[in-house]
Amino acid sequence: MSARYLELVCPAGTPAALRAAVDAGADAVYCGFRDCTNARNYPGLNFDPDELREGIAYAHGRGCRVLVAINTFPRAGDAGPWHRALDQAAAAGADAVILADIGVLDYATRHHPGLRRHLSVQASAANAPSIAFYRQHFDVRRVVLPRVLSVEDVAQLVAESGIETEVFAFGSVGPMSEGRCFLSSYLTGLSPTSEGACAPASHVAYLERDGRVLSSLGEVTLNSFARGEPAAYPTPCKGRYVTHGRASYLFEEPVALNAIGILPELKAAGVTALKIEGRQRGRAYVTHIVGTFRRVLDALARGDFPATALDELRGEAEGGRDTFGAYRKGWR
Amino acid sequence: MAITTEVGSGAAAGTVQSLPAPPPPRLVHRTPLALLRSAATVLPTRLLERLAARMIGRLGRSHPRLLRNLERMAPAVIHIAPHDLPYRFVLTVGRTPVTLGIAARDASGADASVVASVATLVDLLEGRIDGDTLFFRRDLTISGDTSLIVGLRNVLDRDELMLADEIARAFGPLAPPARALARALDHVLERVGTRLAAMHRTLHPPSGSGADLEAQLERCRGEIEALAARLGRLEARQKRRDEKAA
Repeated sequence: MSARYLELVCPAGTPAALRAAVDAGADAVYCGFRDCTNARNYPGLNFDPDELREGIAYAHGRGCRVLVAINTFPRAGDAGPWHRALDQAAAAGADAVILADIGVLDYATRHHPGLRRHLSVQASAANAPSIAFYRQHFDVRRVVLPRVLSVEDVAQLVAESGIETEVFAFGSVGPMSEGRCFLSSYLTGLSPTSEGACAPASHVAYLERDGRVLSSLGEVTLNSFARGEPAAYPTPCKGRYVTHGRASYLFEEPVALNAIGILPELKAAGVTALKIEGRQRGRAYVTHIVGTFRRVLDALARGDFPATALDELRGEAEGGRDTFGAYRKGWR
Repeated sequence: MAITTEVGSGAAAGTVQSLPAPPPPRLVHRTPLALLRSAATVLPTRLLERLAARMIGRLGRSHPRLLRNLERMAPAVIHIAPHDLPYRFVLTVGRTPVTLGIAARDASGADASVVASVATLVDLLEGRIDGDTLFFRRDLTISGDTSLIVGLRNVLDRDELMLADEIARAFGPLAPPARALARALDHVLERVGTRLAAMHRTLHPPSGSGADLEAQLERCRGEIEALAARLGRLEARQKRRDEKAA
């Protein structure tokens, strides 16, 4: 393999997905515990402490690091699960923890000072003073930037803050104010930021009617797909709403972020690492996406670029479409 | 608070790229499909039920964590319905023991159901394709309690399960002959399909005399009878082996 071009940070919702990511060429894998402490708290997903220990041993044996996401926000008076998760991640030998809440960051700083801390995208640190605050008080070593910045914004932020940055390169996007989105809680009564699941599966339903598939969240129908039309998750931000007699995506279209075509720009902006979204996806997705990015990054390190890679991930995208998102900023 | 600049229609529409979803690569390994399709098409329901039960029993030894995770799910009946097989599978989770049975294609009573082709379901089960990708492409439909299907998908995806091995193991000491038998059955079924296609061509010839057609039809009848007899012998052989193993 050539010298590292950009670090590749990959998702693992299960031990099998972790092994798949490592085998496909991840530089680091991120995962979380099987509870409300991480932002992908879906049924059947995530790790118990034994599985995490085994996963870390597998990754370390192959030169790959493991980052543990403890990136939801504790409920009032109930920080126990978050503290326990930090203790377990440290005991398992995690290379870093990905945190969002300042109380959790404070606990980690005081109780596990030697455990590297990354700032989660859920913290929504999108400007230099904000990043400086987390760095000064909690010795945060890396910031995962919100998906709201153009490449130029990223370059400026890297220059101003002088900190390692990790940016999203592929996966689901929403018009969220990262870490502050409560849209789905209005329909489900469950908070995405403290329960760890936007549009939880327990409240999602699909119904076939007159050749169309209706998708709903709670009691509200959010979309209707014609036969053969690519489908999407029923999240409120990607619902199709009727205004002025016309159904359209008012907030966000079902589409996936795909930065594979602008990796040299991100490298030039000073980015340290690329993050692949998708801990809720299967190991086949992990193998395909990680393998493709690995191939492209290695080619870029050699001064090549496999042009065919531009289109090859679109089939995995929500809604069958992809976008550069905010990296090529464009307002409606 | 940061608000999105995510693109949609309008000024930045050019940055959203859309393509018709490419056809999924043909990933299915032949053996498990052959085993499944052959078994479900040819074997009697009673025997299928026994095979399914033995397969679940063996999972406790080959994938104990998988079985424990199935037991830990919320109590539920999940139908796994290959739309190109004459049966659907009935999986009962959230209790001990977890059970796998066979039901008619139009059976009801499920808390949740997942429907796709048998090839798609095998790919999904063996981790060769992502469930969400299938859903986006509309190659898979689910109904009922979505959290049960999501939970089942995630539990299955945790373990590297090879369906061919599990089905073959369900045959116990007859595993090697079972594989051979499945291959033979699949071959026979393929030949039946080929012959039916040939018969269709014969019945709709571009040209040809009535006498030729009659002769070809007679030959086709003979072929089908021979194939049916061979199928019967294979079934009988399997029955004897199964009785010997029981």
